[in-house]
Amino acid sequence: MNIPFYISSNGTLFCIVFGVMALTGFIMRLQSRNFYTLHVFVRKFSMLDLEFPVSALELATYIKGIFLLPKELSSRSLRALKGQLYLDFLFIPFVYGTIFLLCMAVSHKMNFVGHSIFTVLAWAQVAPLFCDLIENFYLLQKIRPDAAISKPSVHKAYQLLGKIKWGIASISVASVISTLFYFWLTGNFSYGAISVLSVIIVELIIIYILMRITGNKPTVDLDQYQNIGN
Amino acid sequence: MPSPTTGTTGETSLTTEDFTGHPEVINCLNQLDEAFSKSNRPFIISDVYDDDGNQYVNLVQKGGGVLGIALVGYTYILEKMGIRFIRLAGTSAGAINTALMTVIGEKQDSKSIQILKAICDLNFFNLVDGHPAARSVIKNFITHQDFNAKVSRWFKVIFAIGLILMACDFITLGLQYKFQWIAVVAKISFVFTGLYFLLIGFLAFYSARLFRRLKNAGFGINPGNFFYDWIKQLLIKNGVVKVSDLNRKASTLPKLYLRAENPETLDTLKGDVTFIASELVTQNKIQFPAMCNLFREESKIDTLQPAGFIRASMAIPVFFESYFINNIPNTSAEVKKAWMDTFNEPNPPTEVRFVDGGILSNFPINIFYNPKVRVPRLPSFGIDLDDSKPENKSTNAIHWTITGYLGRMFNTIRYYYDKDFLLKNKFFERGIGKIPLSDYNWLNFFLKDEDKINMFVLGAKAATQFLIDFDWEEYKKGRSQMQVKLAEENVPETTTIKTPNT
Repeated sequence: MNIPFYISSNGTLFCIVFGVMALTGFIMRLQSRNFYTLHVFVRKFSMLDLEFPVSALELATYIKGIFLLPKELSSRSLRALKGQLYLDFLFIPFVYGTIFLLCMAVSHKMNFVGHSIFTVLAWAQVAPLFCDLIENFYLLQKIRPDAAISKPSVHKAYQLLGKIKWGIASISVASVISTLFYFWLTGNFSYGAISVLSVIIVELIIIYILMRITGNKPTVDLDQYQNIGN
Repeated sequence: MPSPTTGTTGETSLTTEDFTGHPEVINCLNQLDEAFSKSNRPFIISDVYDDDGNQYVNLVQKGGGVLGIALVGYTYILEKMGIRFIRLAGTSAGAINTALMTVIGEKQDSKSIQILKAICDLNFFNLVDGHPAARSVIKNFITHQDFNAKVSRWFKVIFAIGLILMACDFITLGLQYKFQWIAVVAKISFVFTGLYFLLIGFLAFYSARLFRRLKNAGFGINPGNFFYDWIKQLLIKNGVVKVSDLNRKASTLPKLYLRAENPETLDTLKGDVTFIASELVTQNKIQFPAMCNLFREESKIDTLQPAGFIRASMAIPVFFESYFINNIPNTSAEVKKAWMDTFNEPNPPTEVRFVDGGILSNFPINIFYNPKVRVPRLPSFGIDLDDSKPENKSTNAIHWTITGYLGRMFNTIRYYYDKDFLLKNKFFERGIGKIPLSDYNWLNFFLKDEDKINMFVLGAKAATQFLIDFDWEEYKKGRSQMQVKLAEENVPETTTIKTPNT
């Protein structure tokens, strides 16, 4: 018997949601290659540096540093950073949607407690979704030349959002994948699952090819900016 | 990052009296009193003195991280005995003490108490201002001698858990076909295996991220911003805002007198200060502030920050981020000439990167050597910090560990520059006092108050013994004889960028 709030997962819907997530993730990865800031010298940073700064001061330093870069590099970095944050609003529902559907699919195959646990894990994705949205709004309003150092309480709350987001999502993904692995090894899956898996593999291959085409080299030659800073 | 003022005060209960009032320090002063005042042995260590009877010497202070506290103990005793300093030089921790001795008050003033006050107000751990994870590793690594064994144990446990989980997966996967209830155990085991790999992945990812941060930060774990702000505020508090302020403080001398006739007279006696830093772009030893003309035109020297010189001198590689000087006007004829004259470098860089001067010259006593002086007017004193462990002195090379072997190699390279000078000019050893500090780790920024006091006491004791043993007349005679001997052997002069005076 299914527990309340259980939703039957649909293979086609999962393929679409996963595909959109992979594509937006790929575009965001391209944008992140333009993240530069100035702190002592011109250096690269990642979204994770902004999500998990050592201190409130470090977050403000990263953001202020973007505005201290030479105009061209500063605009490029800002455009990329803001662009990624806006695109993230599209990415967020699809990434947590993917995990939600996976959890529901596993829940469907489980009995007793397992069924309930994975249904709960699926609905738990609402928490990281909201944490991610709040985090994005916070960062967007923070990106300004005079980025203030947040109060300790605000910074702690910001760090907590990141921990909740990554904690729930990664525990769910690890549990789901290991359980799917179990079902695969025991041959406990339908033919429909093979079709879904095939589509996912094709989507991943396409993204991989796109990544190879766009390359992974830095877009800026940092040597030309060696004489600024400090 | 906590501010140097708010983050340090109130975190230590030490006062200057805890150092200076220590029974062993008082005993040192009594010993000196007995050795000189009460025994009628005149206390003469220099021919240069002032109206207050202070005697003047040159002083070099060795680098050595937190062991620098011992330097303060040493200089405290020297100052208590009425010794003051005309030329000062130091590397790393020695540069910090040197800087404070230069900027506090006037040449004829005693400075150790104020330096002690600054140390009492400083929480040393704030100097380790890097990522919390790195701070934690540094703290554990330095303060726990069995940290390596602990880490090794943790790795073994994690590896064993992985093995057990995978064995459980393997066994339950097969058994579930014979016993249906085991399917539940198998599913749980698979979920735990997934979580286990999540943890491993997280650790790997986190380590990689920390390493990437390290790379992005120029391979320095700690930014060194806290130290920079701390020393900058101390300089400003003592009226040194610009490089010209520093030079003025270092060169201003009171009215001096010569005790004995000397062909050199007092006219050529000039005060100065030198901080040693290692420059990696052009691979040179830099003497601040004398070599500022390499980085700015004379008229723009004050655009450099004096606190930066000390920050550059103490930038322990990997432990601290490097210190950079940018925007060097490398097309300026004046700057080009300076580079050509100093390092024979026709193409000056636009940016230079400094790490701790200790990797090239941790004990720069050679900068006080002036081969033109026949009879010295004042001695060059040096304070050596000896933290070598007895086992490190083992010559049984076959028993060295890999770290011991690499450490030996690195130390051979970094010490030989200064050692070579002392081997060729053995006479200078007579002015050097050695503080035995083998019980302390130079990178232990988590010192207990008791350790700080003990180091200060060791410095005071070393200074006491040194002063009791020191004989100025012998020193003068030895220095003159060395000069004659060197002239006979036609030894070339040591390369220095200015004309030192002794």
